[in-house]
Amino acid sequence: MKLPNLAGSAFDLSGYTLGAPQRSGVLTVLPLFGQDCPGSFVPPLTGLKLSQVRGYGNMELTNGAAEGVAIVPLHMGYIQDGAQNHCLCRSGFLGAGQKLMFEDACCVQEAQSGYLEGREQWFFILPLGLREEALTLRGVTNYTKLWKGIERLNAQVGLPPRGHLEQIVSRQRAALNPYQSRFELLTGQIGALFFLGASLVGIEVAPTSAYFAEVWMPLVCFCYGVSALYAERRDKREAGPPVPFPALSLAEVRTQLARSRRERQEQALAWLNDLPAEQYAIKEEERYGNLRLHTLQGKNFAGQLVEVIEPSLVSQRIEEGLPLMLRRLFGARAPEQSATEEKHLAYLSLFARAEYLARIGM
Amino acid sequence: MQPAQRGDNSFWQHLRAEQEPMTLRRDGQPVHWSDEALHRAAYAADPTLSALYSLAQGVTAWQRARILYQLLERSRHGMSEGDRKLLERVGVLLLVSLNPDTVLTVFLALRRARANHKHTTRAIASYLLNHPDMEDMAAKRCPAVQECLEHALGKATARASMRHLIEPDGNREYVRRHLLRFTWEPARVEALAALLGRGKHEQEPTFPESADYRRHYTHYETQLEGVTAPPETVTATNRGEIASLLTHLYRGGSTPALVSALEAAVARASVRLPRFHGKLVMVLDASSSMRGYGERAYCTLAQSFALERVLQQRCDAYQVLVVGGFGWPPAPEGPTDLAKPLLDALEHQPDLVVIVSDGYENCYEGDLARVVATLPCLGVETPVVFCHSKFSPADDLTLRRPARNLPELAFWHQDDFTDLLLNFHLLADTPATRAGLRAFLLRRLERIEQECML
Repeated sequence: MKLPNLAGSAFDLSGYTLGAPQRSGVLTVLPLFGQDCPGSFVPPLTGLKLSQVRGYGNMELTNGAAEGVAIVPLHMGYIQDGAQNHCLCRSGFLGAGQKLMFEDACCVQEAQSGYLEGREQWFFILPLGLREEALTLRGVTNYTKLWKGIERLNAQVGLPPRGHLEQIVSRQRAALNPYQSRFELLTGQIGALFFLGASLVGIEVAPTSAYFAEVWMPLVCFCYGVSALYAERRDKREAGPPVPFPALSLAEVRTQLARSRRERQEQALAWLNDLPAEQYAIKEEERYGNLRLHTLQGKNFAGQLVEVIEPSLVSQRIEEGLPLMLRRLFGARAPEQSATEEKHLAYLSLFARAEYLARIGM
Repeated sequence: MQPAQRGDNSFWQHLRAEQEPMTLRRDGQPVHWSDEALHRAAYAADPTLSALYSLAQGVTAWQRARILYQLLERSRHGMSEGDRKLLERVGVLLLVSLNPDTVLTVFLALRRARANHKHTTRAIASYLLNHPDMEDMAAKRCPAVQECLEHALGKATARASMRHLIEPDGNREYVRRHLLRFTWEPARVEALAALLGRGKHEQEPTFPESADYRRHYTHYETQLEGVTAPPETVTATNRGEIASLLTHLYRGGSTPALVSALEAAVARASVRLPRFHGKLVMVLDASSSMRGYGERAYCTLAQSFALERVLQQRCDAYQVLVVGGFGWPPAPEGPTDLAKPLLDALEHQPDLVVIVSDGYENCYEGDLARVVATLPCLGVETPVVFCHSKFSPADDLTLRRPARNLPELAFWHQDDFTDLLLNFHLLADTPATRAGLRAFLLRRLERIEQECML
């Protein structure tokens, strides 16, 4: 799959293929398939544990796996009864057995005391409408920093304007949970593109299908599901009576059904092709071995991605070969690193920015 | 959710949905029942089958009362001895399983209609004179009991019988011939006569607290209904034996002991279910969403597959088309495409297509409804029914109705399978399925009679 407009030179999705779209209500999901990223990656639910907090605004995560690096899902958060719920503003790396204290976490429950504990480990991903603000606030150590944003989101969806995300994430669970059934995780699925109406609002790619399986529910229910739920409630429409196929036999129905499905697939692809061109400001945030965590800031989209940097076969051949040795001996400059390395996308969480969401009426 | 109106199905659905009481006006006019025409038509088409319908699960009490009313109000002239006997048996079962107040309403309605066939008289008099708490009933519902008895026996005969019974030198032979022949306990009828004969201003006699004429019918009502109340908390393992075993299979893997226990459970459940004498194709949704999540993991798929197992045992010709998953039991996988499998199912030219799903259609949303809407245009008359596989009776189906133009049924427990199969018979509505339905309801009548020792 190529997304020249959206991806620009920031990332490359050409190694991935799209599955058939799934649509329910205003949300459409295009599943993404591809090879698991080389290397060992720990899935976030089974591998990452919230080990402790040392005060409001920080969270310590542990990668309890014996081997493999854990990429912390962007904007993951924890909710527990009797504790102040928190979430992270950024992604990060944890090696096997490593503990990492995130000092720039934020509280998402204004009037609640108590610290999160290492008991319930299910996590959510911040609702789409809060993600840009949270990303912008990464590195800022102030646990109250997202309360205004949460107030705004609550007001937008008709709830009391308070800095309490649980008004949505917990109290709407009965309506949000079914999104994991309304959309189905497919075998080998490694990522997904999320559309609200005809507008792309997010791309999520995981390093492995096992990783994606564990981040799927928090994404579809809490990140994108929240926007879809409130859009559906706001624009509540009774579906009209179904229109029969203009067929004269069951065989014709079959043909017309296939054609109608093809048209809907093409429509989803057309939505992708119509995306406005993006240019990203790219900032490297963190390294772990050959992994690089970058933040992307575009006009309509923002997010974080992880790349695996590998020396390219071509450059190895040149470096190992006699001609390069001769060139070095005679004082030739070493080749630029960028020209000698290959990048593979390992993780991507790219989401629509607030202004773009407002433009498309979300 | 109203299944399609096909054959007797509309009457069947009506019996299970309508709860409007039969009302008797103060002006002495005949009983008012808005669905009279529907009941009359069903009885005219097949008196015994319409009576047997009252034995199905979920029929409301007031609909059973209407059936009882018809059984007693209509003449049995020209009926075979077997049919008369069958109507008699159904009538007895309804009399003991309905609230006595409802029965009295039916009797009063019969009086207003001036129905005085022999079977009517016998039913009223036997009920009133053999009721285990007849004294309490006579005390608390004196005018109604008196009115009913006078209608059954004739006003003059009833009053004369009571008088002869109370008077020391009364004509005992007269009483025996006209009143006591209906009772097993003549001594109690004497007490009843005293009660009914008391003056208007006389104080209501008192009985021990245990005496309550409404206390007995619930036992028979439970037997007739045949469904235990849902548990307070529905879990993965209290939704019937088969689904419980299947959930263990799904969650923990297959073991020979589990598989043999499953086969035994399927066999046990199957023998109690009606046999479908026709060709049934089931579209079984085993897509990814059927996995469920949390405490409900695998539960809906387990119950769907439980239904699949028993249908395989109870259908003359049967085929299953699995959507998404594969293996045994099918592992949940893939998107939910229900439209194409429906077309596949119709190619087999079955008597009935049953779609079993959690109702989350996403490939593509609306396709199933569109295909269903096309079928009448093509002259396809094969009935199709959508069966919601639920975790508990309280599941919210708002977002889980992919084809509102299809008749819909729902199940969450193994006990619901009987009802599903009865509905399948009615939807298919072939001579063979009608015969199968009658045979099953007859067997059910026999079983209830044995259990109730009637």
